[in-house]
Amino acid sequence: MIRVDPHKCDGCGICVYDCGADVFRFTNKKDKVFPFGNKYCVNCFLCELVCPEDAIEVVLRPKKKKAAAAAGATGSGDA
Amino acid sequence: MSDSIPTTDCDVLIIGGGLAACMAALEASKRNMEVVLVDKGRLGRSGSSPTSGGVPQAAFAHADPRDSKDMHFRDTIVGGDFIPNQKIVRAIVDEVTDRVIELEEMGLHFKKTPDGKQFYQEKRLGSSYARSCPPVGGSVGMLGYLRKEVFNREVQVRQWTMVTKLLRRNGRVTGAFGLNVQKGTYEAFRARAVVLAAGSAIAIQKYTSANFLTTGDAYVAAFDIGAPLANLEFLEFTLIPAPGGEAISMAGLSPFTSKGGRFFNALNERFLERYDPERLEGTTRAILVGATYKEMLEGRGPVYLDPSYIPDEKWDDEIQFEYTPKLGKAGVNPRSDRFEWVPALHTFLGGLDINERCEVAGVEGLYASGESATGTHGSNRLSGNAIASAFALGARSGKYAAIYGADAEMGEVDPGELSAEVARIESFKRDDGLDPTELHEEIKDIAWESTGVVRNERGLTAGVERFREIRNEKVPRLKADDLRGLIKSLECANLSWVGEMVAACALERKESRGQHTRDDYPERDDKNCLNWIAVEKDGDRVKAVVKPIPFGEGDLKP
Repeated sequence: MIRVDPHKCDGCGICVYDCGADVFRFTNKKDKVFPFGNKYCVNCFLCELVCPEDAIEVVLRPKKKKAAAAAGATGSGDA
Repeated sequence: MSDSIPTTDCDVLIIGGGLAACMAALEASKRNMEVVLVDKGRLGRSGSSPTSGGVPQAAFAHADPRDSKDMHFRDTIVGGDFIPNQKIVRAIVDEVTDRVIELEEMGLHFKKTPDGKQFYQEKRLGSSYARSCPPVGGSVGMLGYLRKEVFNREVQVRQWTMVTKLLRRNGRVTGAFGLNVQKGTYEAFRARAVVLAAGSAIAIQKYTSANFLTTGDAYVAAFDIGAPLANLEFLEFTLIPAPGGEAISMAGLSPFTSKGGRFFNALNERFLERYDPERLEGTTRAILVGATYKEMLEGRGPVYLDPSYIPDEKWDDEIQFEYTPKLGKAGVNPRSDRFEWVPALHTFLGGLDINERCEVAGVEGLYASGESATGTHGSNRLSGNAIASAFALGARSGKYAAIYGADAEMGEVDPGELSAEVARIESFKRDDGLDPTELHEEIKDIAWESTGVVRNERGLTAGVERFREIRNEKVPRLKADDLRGLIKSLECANLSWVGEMVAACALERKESRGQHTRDDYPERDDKNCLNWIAVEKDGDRVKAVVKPIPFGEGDLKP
């Protein structure tokens, strides 16, 4: 999931053109962008890299973090 | 209409903005050539390079004196199941060490041993000895450095310009036609020589380790002017982290496995003991991905990597710099937590058929390198060889294009051809129709179902048909009511071609070899299938044809 900080974004649109997953759109006033197509995001972090204003953040939502960690806790005995 | 299209003249035109393109630009600009570099995205952030890790294999034999260039060569050929063009591989292994030293002298640093005298080298997937040389700052740092160098060398850079067509006259490439993806303006380029280093078509698959910027633009532009493409059935899959089930598009498998991370399945078995008991995590990528896929298919998934086995002395800034921030966002501590990995598309091993001078067969003045070219890896790529190839072949393509361009005449451009291309692009513009982003999703679904990790005849035949249907029936109905929609529509058209090429090649290869796995032909068949499969344009279809591997005298054979 992408979060765009509207206070930092200056609407340069670099992310709009660079994102291959088509996540970003300009607002109606064309002065900012917002993550319109969040469902297409593949977490490649390219937008974070290209944003000159540091306004974009990729937010990951760990769904089963506890389960994964639990498997790890039981799993190092066979070393 | 074409009178109004601005035309830029140059000696060498470089298309692409990743590692290979940067290397080509630096090399060509050394030779007093006027160089123009055209990139669809931001230079140094394009293609697969920023998510690659940026680690080349170079046989310095610093970490292990048994290593040599011959060993690197042998590992590549055997790892690629004898499919590579061995002259190209020889050129890469011979030159990559020089390129690493050259970059080091330019100020781009690679990791050293604690005494600072030798390169720090690690053993990666598929290699016999420790041979990889991680750069300081990872791929992003390396690309940032090369980007600055390209600008310093007075290379004219056109960022955010998508090349939609290569121009050809009398069997020779004469330039390219570009569309600015930010402004929607057109620009034509006339050149004496053209280097194609614009990556592959990563956006074709649903799960990928790289971003979606490469959409087969280079392949389709070259295919359109009759350049030969081959080996496209070999899509290289890798594993990407998916902590908590949410996949993160990044490379990073090799740093974890080479340092000692171990894979477990959901039953807490080290499942690689069943697939490659000798090498375990040091196995080839093809075996690792195949094994993971099988474990998941047979209900023993998901597959976890346990990084806590990595000894403290091997835990270094490479993982910390590149991967810890991303994994940290998913709530994973990559030093101690187990997390899931899933198969995803990593690289295209196929592409333009080039020779060891990077010349594309049959089209004079056209050069290719990086992921756009084939013959470098065969059916399975050793970890670190993509960067080695981008270094060595990228520089070679720039060098030989400059040598050719020094004597060649300026290419002529036919104004009729330009207006025809403008008309083709304009024909996508309409206010209602199918959403190109939704069509891209559909293309990805078809590609994953038909040409995913495991293929079979039924799926591939259906894939070929469905890609044709998309191109003929859905692409002409796409809605391009703004510039973003127009670019996406052009990309969907390209992807539908590439999808059909991949499926057609995979259908023709009736065996399992390296990264190409078919459940109806599970064995490798050296007797009947030791060849290349090329694609040709047959009207509005793709035709797959069998070609002999360009074996030379004294080449390694199975």
